[in-house]
Amino acid sequence: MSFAFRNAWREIRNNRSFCLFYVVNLALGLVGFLTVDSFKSSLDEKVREESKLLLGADLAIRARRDLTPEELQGVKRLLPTEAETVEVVDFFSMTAGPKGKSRLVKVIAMDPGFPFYGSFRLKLEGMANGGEEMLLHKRKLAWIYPELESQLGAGLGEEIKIGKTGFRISDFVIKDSGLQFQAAEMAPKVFIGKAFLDETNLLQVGNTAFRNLLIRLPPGSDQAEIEKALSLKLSSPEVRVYTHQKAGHRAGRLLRYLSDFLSLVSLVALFLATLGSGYLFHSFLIKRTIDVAILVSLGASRSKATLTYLFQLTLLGSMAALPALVAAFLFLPVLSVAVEGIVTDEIKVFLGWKSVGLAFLVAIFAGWIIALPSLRKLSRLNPLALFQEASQPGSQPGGKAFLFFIPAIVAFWGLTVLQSDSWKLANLFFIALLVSAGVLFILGLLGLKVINRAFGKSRLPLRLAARSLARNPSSSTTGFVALGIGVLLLSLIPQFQYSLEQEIGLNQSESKLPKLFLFDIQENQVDRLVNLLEEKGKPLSNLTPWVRGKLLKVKGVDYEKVVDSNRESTDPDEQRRNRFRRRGFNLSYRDRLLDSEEILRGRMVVSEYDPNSTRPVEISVEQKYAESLDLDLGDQIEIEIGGVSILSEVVNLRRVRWTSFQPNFFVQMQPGVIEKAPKTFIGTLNKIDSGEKEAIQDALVSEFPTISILDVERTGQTILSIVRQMTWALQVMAGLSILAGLTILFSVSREKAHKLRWELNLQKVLGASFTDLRNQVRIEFGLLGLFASLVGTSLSALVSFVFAEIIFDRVWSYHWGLPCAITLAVVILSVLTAEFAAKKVLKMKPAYLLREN
Amino acid sequence: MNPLLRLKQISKSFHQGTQRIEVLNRLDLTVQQGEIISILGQSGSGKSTLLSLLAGLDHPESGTVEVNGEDLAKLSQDQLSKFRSQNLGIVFQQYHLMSNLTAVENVGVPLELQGSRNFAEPARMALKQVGLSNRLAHFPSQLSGGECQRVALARAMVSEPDLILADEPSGNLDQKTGREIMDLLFGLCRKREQSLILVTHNLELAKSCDRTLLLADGRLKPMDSNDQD
Amino acid sequence: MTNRTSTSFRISLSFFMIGFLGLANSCTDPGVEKSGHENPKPTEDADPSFRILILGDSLTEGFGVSAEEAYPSLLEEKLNAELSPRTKLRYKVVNGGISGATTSGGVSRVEWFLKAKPDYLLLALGGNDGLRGIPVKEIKKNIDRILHAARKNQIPTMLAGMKIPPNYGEDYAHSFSQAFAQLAKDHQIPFIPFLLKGVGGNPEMNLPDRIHPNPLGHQALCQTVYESLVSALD
Repeated sequence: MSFAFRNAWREIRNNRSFCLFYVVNLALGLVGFLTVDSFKSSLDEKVREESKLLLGADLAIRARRDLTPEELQGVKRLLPTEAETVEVVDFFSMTAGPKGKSRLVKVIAMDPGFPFYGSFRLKLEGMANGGEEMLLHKRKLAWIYPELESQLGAGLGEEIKIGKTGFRISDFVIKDSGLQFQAAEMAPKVFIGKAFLDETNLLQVGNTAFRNLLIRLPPGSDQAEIEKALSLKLSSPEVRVYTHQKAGHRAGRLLRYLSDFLSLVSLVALFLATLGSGYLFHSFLIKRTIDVAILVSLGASRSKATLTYLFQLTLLGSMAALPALVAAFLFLPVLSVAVEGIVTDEIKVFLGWKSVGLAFLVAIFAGWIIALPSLRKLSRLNPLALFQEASQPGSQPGGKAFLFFIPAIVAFWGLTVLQSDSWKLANLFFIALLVSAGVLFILGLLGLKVINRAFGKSRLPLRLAARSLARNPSSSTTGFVALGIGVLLLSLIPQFQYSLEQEIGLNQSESKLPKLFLFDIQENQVDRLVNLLEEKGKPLSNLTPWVRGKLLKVKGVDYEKVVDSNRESTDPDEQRRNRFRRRGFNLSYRDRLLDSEEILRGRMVVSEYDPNSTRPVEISVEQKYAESLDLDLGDQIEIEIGGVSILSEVVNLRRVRWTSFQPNFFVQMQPGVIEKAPKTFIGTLNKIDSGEKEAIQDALVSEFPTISILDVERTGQTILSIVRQMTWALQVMAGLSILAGLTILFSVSREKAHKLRWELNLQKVLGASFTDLRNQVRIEFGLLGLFASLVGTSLSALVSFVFAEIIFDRVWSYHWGLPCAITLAVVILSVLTAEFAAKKVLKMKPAYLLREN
Repeated sequence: MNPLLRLKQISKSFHQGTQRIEVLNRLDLTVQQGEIISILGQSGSGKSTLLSLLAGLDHPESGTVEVNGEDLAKLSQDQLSKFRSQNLGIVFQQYHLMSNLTAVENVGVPLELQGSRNFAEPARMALKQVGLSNRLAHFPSQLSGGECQRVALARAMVSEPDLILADEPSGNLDQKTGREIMDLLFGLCRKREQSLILVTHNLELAKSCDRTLLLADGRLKPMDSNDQD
Repeated sequence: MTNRTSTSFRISLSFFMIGFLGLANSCTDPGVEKSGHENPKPTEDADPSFRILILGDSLTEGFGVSAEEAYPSLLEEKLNAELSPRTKLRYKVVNGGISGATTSGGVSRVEWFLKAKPDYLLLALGGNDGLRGIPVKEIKKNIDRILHAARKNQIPTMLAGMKIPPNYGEDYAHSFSQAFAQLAKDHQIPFIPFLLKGVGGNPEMNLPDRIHPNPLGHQALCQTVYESLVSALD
């Protein structure tokens, strides 16, 4: 045992350059992996916190009535003793200002202690956590949303009437936490202490107020279990139990996607680095084979020899983990800056002990596992080889050698699953990577043959380069696969970004993203509204008619009888409600597409309906909606609009960008049919600064009290900024992968140059100049880089298409400029790297050759 | 007639750590066109150094190396490369064939390096002369030791150089094969009146040459039949 | 990531985010007719029947219940079962309810529907206006215009009175419910004091959201309307 250990150290000391490369290579892959892993833990915790902030609690019980004493008892019994609860009542009400102006508001009547997580950001007082000591709970004070000041005509210190009671405005709420079930509110909020709710006399019989029981669990509680138990106990359909994850924001979900993607990408860098190290080790071991044979012939057992190298790998792995940890530690703040703004507060970046342990574990195990095939060769070594002339150690591996790659593949799959929260994503990614590697490998082998044939009769440098590539398939394909995967990744990530941008419309000027969404605009209000807005310099965009339709028959069958394939719930009440919902839809009429739309199949509707034709009315149907009704091109449905039954035929299936925030409809009818039917209009307001938004809303509310206004800006902007930062972080990771790929290339090149040093020098002796030889190296690796890039970028197009199909609902659009740039860059880098690696050998004096060895 | 090769007062030394080892010490050598000479010497006597100088792969510290009247020290790197491909043929002990080229391609390398596109025909001829017409498309890994050395021979001959340097060409071969190779080498040189400098430690082989020189103490001495090793 | 999110539909808020669903129910209109006009008109039935149009919102449309369980359907059944023998008329109730509808939308809708010349109009709008806090003055103005349009077309009309939940505030609630009575008086038309009599605020009669009536509630609704209608029609 100790012999093996000492031998391992000896090997390290005597092969410093190999060890250095091995360690650097591995460390490179580990850096990305580690950074993301520790970032992920930080991120996960942040996301959890964030969703808790949104709900303001761990759990919430919500109903339009008080809980019965029996229900309350049940709840108490199910909660751990240290659990805290707080009650908040929210409802809509008409509030009047001192001058009599009234407005619909949402009243939040809260107990002291709300919210458990997060706090209020008030204009005057700053941060307030709603604790007992707050004056709000002691006196009849109110905190209001800033826009209410003008809408109610009530300023600081003035009184507003809630029900029978007057509340004095003591502050303005810039930002609030808790009970945020939706991304946008329909009415501005007013916060009062719950103690004063009874006085208002508003909660009489028949009220529609929501009672919320918010729960904070002590640390270590099993939230999922408690939630399940509560849901079971509170079986009345009137009561809903929410966890903070369920109530979570869309941003949280996107963050989770980001985190998963990041870790997967970082895994690729790790994979490549491991591959490179494995290759290095393989070459290293081959050189040592003779020595090992000697050892064995001197009496050492094969297992001792194998043990030596296992020790060596362990030591090297540990040595790789250290710089990786340091680099990750330095790199983490950079990454956290990148995702700033996605979450409200900073993410604490910390390198947890778990990550440290993981680093060592992965470094060592990865080294072992990838070395398995090489070590296996060692164990099959026959010292007789020593006695043979010109012994060529390391013959072709037998067929069984492939089996020894399986542990590596399985281990990698395990790591993939571990690092991502979603099985689906992990497996998808793993399969994509495996298939890509496989395709690259096969194409690489084929390509080598093609190259060999193509340049078989060319001039010497070209021919030698081709031959060198073709006759060393293992090193050539290693370099090829590594580079190819790096290129694949590097071009894939921006494709996603590009697709997402197209989807959301990021490429278009920011002004296209609406700030306010107006709807329920009556036909007779349109002119006045348009004029008013133009006067204010904020023109109305996307003015679109909005017609309500009901589904009567689908393909000749009464709608009621249509079996719905998506059984969303087993509750018959729920089912009935869902069916009711789907029976109706909003439609419009248009003969052209918006930017956010795309015809998947079929043709555009005919511009104007011909009343003399006997054909049914033409409609364009959104694809997923069509699927849910089992509709295809040519199918007919009967729609009732304003009491009129209209038979229509599906002329095209359309895809709609959900993130475009533009008015989109599931059904678009051809113009000339329903223009006179009763309808409302919707529109968007785009170019508004935050300051102006309040003023505009004010004007609209007073002039057109029946028009509804929805503030989409915040939601839209958040999503966009998330996407931007997502892709930045992803690209950094992808860059690491390319770096790992190039490092492999460097190793491969160096290896080759070293192996071929005799021949390179021979060529010098025979009369080749340094330029000739340098060109040879350039051509060889330039070809490798070029081919790898071409295949890599093609694969990236394919993979991005597949991913777009499954994850992003077919938002595939390809940006061709990027792959060209990457190909060029990779070719140049490959050439430079190879040249640099071979430089030492190239500069060697050919006299070396003549020395007796 | 001008000698093909003339070395005048060549000195060359190496540094090993802090020691300075003199390998060649004011060495003189003159070789006429068509002469076949052998240079004998113990291991470490400086044979390789001498060969390097002869091949223009290295420069002496003092003295001159003239080939066909040209001082090698005055040539640029490019000119030296050209010189080597045109005027020199080297046969190594370890054959040193290019593993990724076939036999005929290996033989054609010097011609290609000179810029000639038409190397296949001369290469084939050269291989025919060494008796390997049936091995043209084989890679070195597919050839035996003797066959490899023949290919090396053919390569050394293919551009019809004036001077051939052979460094223990039969050193890695068994006696019979070695004998065959040497016969081939001598035969070809004589036929074409090419000069051959054979570096060896084999006395037998040395005796087949026109002249035998002994490399000792950094200088070359003619060896008469009385000198024994 | 399709946007089939289930936004919670409350009677007050049929508001949508981007890409959303509407509500509908199947109409009891028998006409499976292909539109042959440039702008289709509501169908005219050939049969000698008495057509009652109910212009309303999700209450009328029957949110959360099936088409047959909604009160307009039940009303038609009841009328044909009990009133028909007396009046010798076949009754047809046209369900003009749309979830989320407000009085301001009713103005344009009623003109559309009146083209088909119903024999009677029951106006059951206003609930959503109340839940959105629309000023009562505005509501009155709109209902006024609807009633005028009906009169101009010589359609006898009945107005259903609404109430809003108490949490909206007494002043507003009071002036809101008063508005309907006032309007009925001004236009001298029959008036149902409170459409959701016995149903509103009664958990037994409502769906779990405590806003929309369940089948039992719709039956009560039907009864309420029937009683008023019968006295008006007889």
